Amino acid sequence: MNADTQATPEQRTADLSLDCRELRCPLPIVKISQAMKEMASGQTLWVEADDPAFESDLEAWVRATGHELLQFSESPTQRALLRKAPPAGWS
Amino acid sequence: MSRHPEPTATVADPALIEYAERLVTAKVAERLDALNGPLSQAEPSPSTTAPQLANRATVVAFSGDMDKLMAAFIIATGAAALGMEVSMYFTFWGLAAIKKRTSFRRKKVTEKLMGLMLPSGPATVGTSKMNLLGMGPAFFRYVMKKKNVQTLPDLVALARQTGVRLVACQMSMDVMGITPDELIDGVEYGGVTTYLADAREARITLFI
Repeated sequence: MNADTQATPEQRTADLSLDCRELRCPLPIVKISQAMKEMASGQTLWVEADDPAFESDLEAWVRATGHELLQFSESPTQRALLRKAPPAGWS
Repeated sequence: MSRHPEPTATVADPALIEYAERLVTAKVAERLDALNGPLSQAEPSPSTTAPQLANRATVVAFSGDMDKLMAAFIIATGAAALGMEVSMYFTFWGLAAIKKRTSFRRKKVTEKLMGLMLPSGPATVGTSKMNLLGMGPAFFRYVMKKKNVQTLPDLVALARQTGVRLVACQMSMDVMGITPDELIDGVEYGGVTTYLADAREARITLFI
């Protein structure tokens, strides 16, 4: 994590955090999907990104994969808190 | 004599009419049974059943243009990130994306000529517009670097890293005189049936 980033409370409590700043489509979503594969269900992932397509891509990704988007804020950079869904077939 | 004579008294006889009707009913029932038997036993043949759709995307990369290949790879890696099973089929000019070098050893004259005229890999492909004798791609690469956009070789590496299957069309390789040692590692080889068997069950298939 870069020193210039002010850690937010969400970031500090998240199980994993990912810096996707300066990454462009499709990299932020690819990185998130790779990180999610390593995580356990219910764990949270905090992501910071500045790709212009990030918000719409993230919403589409969450819709398609079933993971949960707990929080999203846009300024100064886009920040998202995600929670990994239980494996398919649960509940 | 008229062609359609009026019914006579004998035809109107109720017993005869009833007899005729029974004959017709029996004949119709017999014919229907003969038709119904084979119909009810007939099973749809495997070739006409709709295949089960898999969570899969397939992309045919036909173009050898940098811009089009970038689109193909961005879609493929995006689909992989969505948890889809992704395969890309490289045919004709598209093979340039998965070449690592051009070799001339032990090749026929025509194949050597092909090798001279074709790009040696994803780093040297031209753009579909604004190519400007090769200056266009260099300009694009400069702009994309400035804007942190992945270049085509980066995207090829990303595709491999995200588990996208890369399949080279053997017929195109033969036509273009491209040998397996000129292609990047981990590439699979196949023909049109390999692609179709994959694509018929895929939710998404694209030809780029």
